[in-house]
Amino acid sequence: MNDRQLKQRLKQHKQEIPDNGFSSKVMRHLPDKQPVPALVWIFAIIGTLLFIAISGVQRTTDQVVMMMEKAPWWTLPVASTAIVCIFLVGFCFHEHKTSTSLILR
Amino acid sequence: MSNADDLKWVMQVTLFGNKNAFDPLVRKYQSPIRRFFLNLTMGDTSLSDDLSQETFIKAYLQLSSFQGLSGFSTWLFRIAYNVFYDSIRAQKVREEVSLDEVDRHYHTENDYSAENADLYNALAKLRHEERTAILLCYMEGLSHTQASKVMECPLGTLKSYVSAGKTKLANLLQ
Repeated sequence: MNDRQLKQRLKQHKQEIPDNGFSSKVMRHLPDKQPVPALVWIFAIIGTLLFIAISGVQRTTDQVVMMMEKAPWWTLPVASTAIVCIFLVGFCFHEHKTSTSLILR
Repeated sequence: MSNADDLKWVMQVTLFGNKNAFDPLVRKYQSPIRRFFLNLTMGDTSLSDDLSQETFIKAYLQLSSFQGLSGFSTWLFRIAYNVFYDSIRAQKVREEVSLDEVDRHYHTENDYSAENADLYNALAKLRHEERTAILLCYMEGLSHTQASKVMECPLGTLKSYVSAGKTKLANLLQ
């Protein structure tokens, strides 16, 4: 038996194993909570400390007040509506993509 | 589902603690992982399912250590490889038998083994490193580099396992 025949033989032997509830069984046996990795906490703490160090609260408040003073009255409702719409569209797109990929599987 | 999708699901689990995001990964990889174990255990479906389950649980618990340098499948096969050889070592310690005897112990009769008895018989006669290398490269389609990462051995060593395994298998299957 040459190399090509051997490859062919192994290819014939290769079979797709049907799920038959295996994935659900695995998901049921997973531990309840995946602990948040230490790296996430480290970056969160670094970010918070930097925000405090550069007087983030004061700067943010000043910027918002300045914007409110300069901008016309309708800016705030229009901007907040636009932000909500962007989030909604993104969420719907994500959900649609997720459900499609689950259905296709 | 591409490697980018794999990374997306991994990030959902690791960063947001979304346990359900692990489900698509299990569904995608259950077939290759169970097939890998099925071939290593000479068709023992019950044992291969137990080992596969252990692999996915270990993968879930160690998911934050996945750095994305190699593909998710390579990383998962590495865990599967460790799970299998840990189980063999445990068996060996319990029974004080050789790896070949463990292989024979795993050689059970069932639907899969009846269909592929001659191939399983031939695989059982290979050294376990040769068998794993052949299965990873020829059955699961991993490259030599990926297989060497899974088996944590130099590329040259992996190639020698594949070459020796192929020669033996070709003779045995004639």
